[in-house]
Amino acid sequence: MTTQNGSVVSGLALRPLAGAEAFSVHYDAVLGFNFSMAFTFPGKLPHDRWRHALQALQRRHPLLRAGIEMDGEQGPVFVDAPHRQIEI
Amino acid sequence: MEEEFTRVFHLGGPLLRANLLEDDFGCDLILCAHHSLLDAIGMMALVRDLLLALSGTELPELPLPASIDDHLARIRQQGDFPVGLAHAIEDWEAALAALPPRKVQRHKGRGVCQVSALRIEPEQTEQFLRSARKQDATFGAALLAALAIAVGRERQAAGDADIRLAIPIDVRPYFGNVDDCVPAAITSRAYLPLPHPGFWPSARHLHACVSPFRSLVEIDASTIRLKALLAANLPPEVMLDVLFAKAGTDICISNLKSADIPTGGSGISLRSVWGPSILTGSLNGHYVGSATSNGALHLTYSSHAPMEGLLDEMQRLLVEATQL
Repeated sequence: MTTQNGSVVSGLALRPLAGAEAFSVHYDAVLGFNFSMAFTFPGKLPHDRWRHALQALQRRHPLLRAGIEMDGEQGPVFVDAPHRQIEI
Repeated sequence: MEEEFTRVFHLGGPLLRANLLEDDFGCDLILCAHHSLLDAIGMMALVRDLLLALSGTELPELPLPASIDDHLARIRQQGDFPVGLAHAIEDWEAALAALPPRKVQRHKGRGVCQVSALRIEPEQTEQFLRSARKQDATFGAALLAALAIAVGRERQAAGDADIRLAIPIDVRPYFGNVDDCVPAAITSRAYLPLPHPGFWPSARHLHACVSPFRSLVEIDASTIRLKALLAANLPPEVMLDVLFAKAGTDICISNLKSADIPTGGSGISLRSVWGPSILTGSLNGHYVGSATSNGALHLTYSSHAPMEGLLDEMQRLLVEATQL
């Protein structure tokens, strides 16, 4: 699949990463730039409900269904990765 | 969370991971994202959507979110880009340039980090808020002062003349993209001279440092600086060396303020929010995430080289400050 300037990436190109987004890719490649938060709930739910809720999140937010590929001309590009599910 | 920092993301996606830890009292959901995907405010929006999804609410699909650069281009096209804080920012850049040179060493590679956390009861959190108002400061500035003073004692003993801070600023209020799953923050910079001028003067000074960054002009300037750095096409290792040499900081603090989310009929309520948590990449850097949920202040500390008892010291300084 091709991006707007004709360069080739293997997935459906969504858009090039903007400055801060692209910077995070480079930063992560050298130092690691994972970002984490924890949420405490006083109750419990069956795992299936969490999994289905995460799938609903992926359907709602396009970039949760995306990966990143490097494009020679544009640098990093978000590409569609619809079959990759968030596991829990 | 410590383990999550060391796990590399497969860039093929997804760029978000979820872990559920359960015990007899409930569960902890740990979400970890590649930082190109989203930031703390974006993650709070995701958790709000997650609770709605758990309640059975249908969530309509959102369009592909615009980046900060896209939003700035749209505003510029509309022709009403504001000016007005330019002088404040120039003054601020001059103040930073006048600071003595500082070599902030970056970590070589991912490495191990440690994470610790502290919950401060709602009554005491409320006292801190009241004191900040009484002292003509903000609660966020009081947190900055507590962290800078706590770390500053060690750095002053090592001969440093100031403490350098990085403070992320959420830019969503300028663009109205509260539902977007994107990173939408810039990093403001501040410094505190050592020895510090007292707790509340330090808080007011740090607040004054950060204020000029809260403008479209500075958001624009930040993106331009970043684009210039990227356009140099340096190898990533060299690019980070340049960044650390020019803008390396000792500490970073990200204050989410109120992080309450309605249950939304999901049958499960959110008791505590921990983080945001990240590594600064600085060899001796300290990162503190702050969030207030159900009235209680939650502090989460991550570092490659943690200072023992840092969060307890922050709490002690805040308690002491309420008595001034």
